[in-house]
Amino acid sequence: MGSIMMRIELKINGSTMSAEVDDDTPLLWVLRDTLKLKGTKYGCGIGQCGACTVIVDGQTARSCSLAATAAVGLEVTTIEGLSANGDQFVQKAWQDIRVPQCGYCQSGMIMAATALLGKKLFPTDEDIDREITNICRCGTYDRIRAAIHAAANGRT
Amino acid sequence: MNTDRRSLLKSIAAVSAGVVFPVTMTGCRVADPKPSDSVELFSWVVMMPDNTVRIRIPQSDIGQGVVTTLSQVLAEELDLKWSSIRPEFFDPLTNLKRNNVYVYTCTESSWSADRLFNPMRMAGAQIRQMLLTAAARRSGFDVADLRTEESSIILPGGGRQSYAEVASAASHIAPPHPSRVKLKDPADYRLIGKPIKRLDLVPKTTGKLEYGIDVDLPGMLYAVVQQSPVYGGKLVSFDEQAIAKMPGVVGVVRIAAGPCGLNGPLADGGEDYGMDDAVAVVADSFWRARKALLALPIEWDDGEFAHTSSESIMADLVSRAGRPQPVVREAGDFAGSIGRAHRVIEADYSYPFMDAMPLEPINCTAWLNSDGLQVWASTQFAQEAHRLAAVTAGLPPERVQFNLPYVGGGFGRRCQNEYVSQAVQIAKAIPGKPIKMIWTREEMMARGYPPPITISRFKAGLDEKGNVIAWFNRVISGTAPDQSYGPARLPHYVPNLRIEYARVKTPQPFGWMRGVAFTQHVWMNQGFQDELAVAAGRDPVDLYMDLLDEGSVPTDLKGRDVAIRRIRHMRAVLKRVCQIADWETPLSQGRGKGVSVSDFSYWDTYHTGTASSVVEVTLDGKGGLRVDHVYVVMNCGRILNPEVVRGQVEGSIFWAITTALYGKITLKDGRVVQRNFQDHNVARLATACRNIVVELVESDDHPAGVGEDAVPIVMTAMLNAIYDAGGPRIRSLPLSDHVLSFRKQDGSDALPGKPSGNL
Repeated sequence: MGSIMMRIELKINGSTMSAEVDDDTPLLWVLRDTLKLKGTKYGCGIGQCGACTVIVDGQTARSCSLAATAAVGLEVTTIEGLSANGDQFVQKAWQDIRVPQCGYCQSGMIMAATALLGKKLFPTDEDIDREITNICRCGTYDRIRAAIHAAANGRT
Repeated sequence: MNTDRRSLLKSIAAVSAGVVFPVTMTGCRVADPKPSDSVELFSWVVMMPDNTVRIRIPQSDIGQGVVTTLSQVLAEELDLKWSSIRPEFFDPLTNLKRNNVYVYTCTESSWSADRLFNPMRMAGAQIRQMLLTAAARRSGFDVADLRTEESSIILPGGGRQSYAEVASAASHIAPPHPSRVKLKDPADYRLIGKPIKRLDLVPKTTGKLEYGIDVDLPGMLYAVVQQSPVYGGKLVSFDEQAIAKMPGVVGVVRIAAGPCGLNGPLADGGEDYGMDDAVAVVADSFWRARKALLALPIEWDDGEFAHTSSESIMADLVSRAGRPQPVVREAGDFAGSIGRAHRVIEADYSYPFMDAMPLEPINCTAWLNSDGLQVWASTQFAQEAHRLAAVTAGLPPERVQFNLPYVGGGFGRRCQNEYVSQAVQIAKAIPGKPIKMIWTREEMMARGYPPPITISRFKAGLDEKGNVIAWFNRVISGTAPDQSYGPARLPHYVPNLRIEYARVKTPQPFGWMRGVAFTQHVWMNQGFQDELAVAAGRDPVDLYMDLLDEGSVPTDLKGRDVAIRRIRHMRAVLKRVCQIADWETPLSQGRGKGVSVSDFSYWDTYHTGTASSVVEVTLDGKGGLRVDHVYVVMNCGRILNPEVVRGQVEGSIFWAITTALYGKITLKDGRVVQRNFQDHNVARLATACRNIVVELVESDDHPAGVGEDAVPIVMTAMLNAIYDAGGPRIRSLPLSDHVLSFRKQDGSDALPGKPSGNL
């Protein structure tokens, strides 16, 4: 009710993409259903679980709780933007440590880890605990922690 | 009953050999049809012209890795080149037409390895024989002179024929009878037991893997549902006009209550709990459908549970615990022996409703058109989903195609397919368009399938030496299948014992949440045993070892060999975990450790792992708790892939920590109080234990399930550790309802026999 439909231009993974959206539509649903970037997942819709995590101007954002209109003019990176073949250094660490089980949360986890590693060369366990609040129901936390350290150490 | 081999024989007889069946699309690779010169062999594999091989996975992959482990099993006997494998999920319609050729397709009870190890090895070996026979005919050599390697036939002299070259001829050869097929010597395994990386590992790090929620079809519409907020409530009316003009709204659909399919095969205790009335708003986007649903005025009749709450249910269970209930196991003379006991200990334990909360929200896409019905859903029970979809649509099963995508977490929730019925009802109301129905997280939490709320009353007698001479346990639980195995299928044989078990009807239907009744009762049983050890001044390991006494098993017991094997396995893993956890060494003030051991033996021939855990915790005295170390030793028979098994154990550890810390769903006025993760936390990195040691026992036994075994023992060890650290005795969950300060020195706040509340 009361929302206005508008056309917006978003900068996503280095490309400019255009979408017609209601002005209150969360970025998540524009990514998934309008732009067909389905690697970003819906989990809770209230910014708790982090399955929808993307990077906006270098900072993590819960895309379920950010209106797409608010991302206009900002650089948005989704899981699809990290690499063409899964060989970005965090993705590779995730593969080496064999983190995923069902895999549903891992796009968000990898985005959160990428943002953390963008801010800190060698995040401590405490940094990880504080910065990565995403939920994994399969319980891959131990490997997520190991993969973040491995990614930091293996970065060239 | 283990009928793997026999049922496979039966299903083989039912499949006419040599027929190339039409290619079917399954959810694994919807957009990737097979070329017309691909060849299906014996329902299990499809040989592609480029010598890659599609393996049919007859289970859902919910994160437990069956796409990889079951491929390892079949590829081992078929001598496939690992890099040539392209797994795809089975097609329920094919399975139906071919009389259950895939043997076991419900993904529950950690059964994939147990039930499919023999059939898939045999299928691989039979197909290999068919290919060898075809190659022999073509080359003029004897079969005995040929061998196989890396998806090729090797001829004498070193010539090679690819499987693809002989596949077409092989498809016309009858599969050999299993009695004439020799399976590999395990010593020669090059895939089974190896830590092979998951076949879907890379796409699970790139966002490219397709789950049910990612299905995308031309012209697709979106539906969001609201079910009766009170279990058993009825829809009275809704005012469609109020939202008719909202942008993108296509319509409002009334979804009728009714049967919603079994949550497991009947023989395994499957039941249809039915579903309630619901309303769906259909729109051109999820967001618009959701907004319109929030704005839709709906009137409900709340029905018989309108005033039911967790509190009123628990009060009823407590009152029933004061009266005799049906006896499910009895030995000796409990009443007489308790009177002779040197010490009598009593306690009430309780367990709240909980929710599995897989991270991929419930969803289903359905498309009804003149060709029939197409359905896509992440489910643990695709066979039943297919049947339910056909029944709901009023179509013969052969006009319904069910596509099984990857599943973003199951944990038992997706054994129930009620959402498939809902999506098909929506598709019937708006035919000709594919419609993707997605539940919000709020809807998921409001409509979970919990383990039953339960009270467990214990009374035990100790002799002068601290031996348990009498054991009484009265359990009353809410809606559930018969789970009397929880209290009754103890591995030990106390001479005087009585177990009573009863169920009452509670509002929610039951769900097979990871760990099921073992999580409830292993904790309650061994929490109480830990109390007995403390009362007797004994080390709990010493008490467990005494209870796990082969000599105590009655000589005339039916299944005595099983009982003895259980005891031996448990003693072995318990002994080992105490070694690696350095059990004997005491911890400093404020720290404590607990121990637990169990198997998952629901009944005599249920193949199960055996596991033991030691957990160390620290209490900060201000209510703070830290889980410092978790040790698990597990014997799960033959290990198909040690890295996959380790992942399952690690996952079970965090499942146990979440269950202990936060696991609780509260009913008030028939409604679930918790709305989303802000009301129901789960373990995250900050709460996750950083020091985990998992040791897997090498074994040649038949592979056993590993998806749940570590849940009950880790939770039990963790809760016992809190007491050992000087904290309160935990007799109810979750910990977030307790104050974890240190006990008073006089013990006045820790007396056994005082049931803890907090429900």
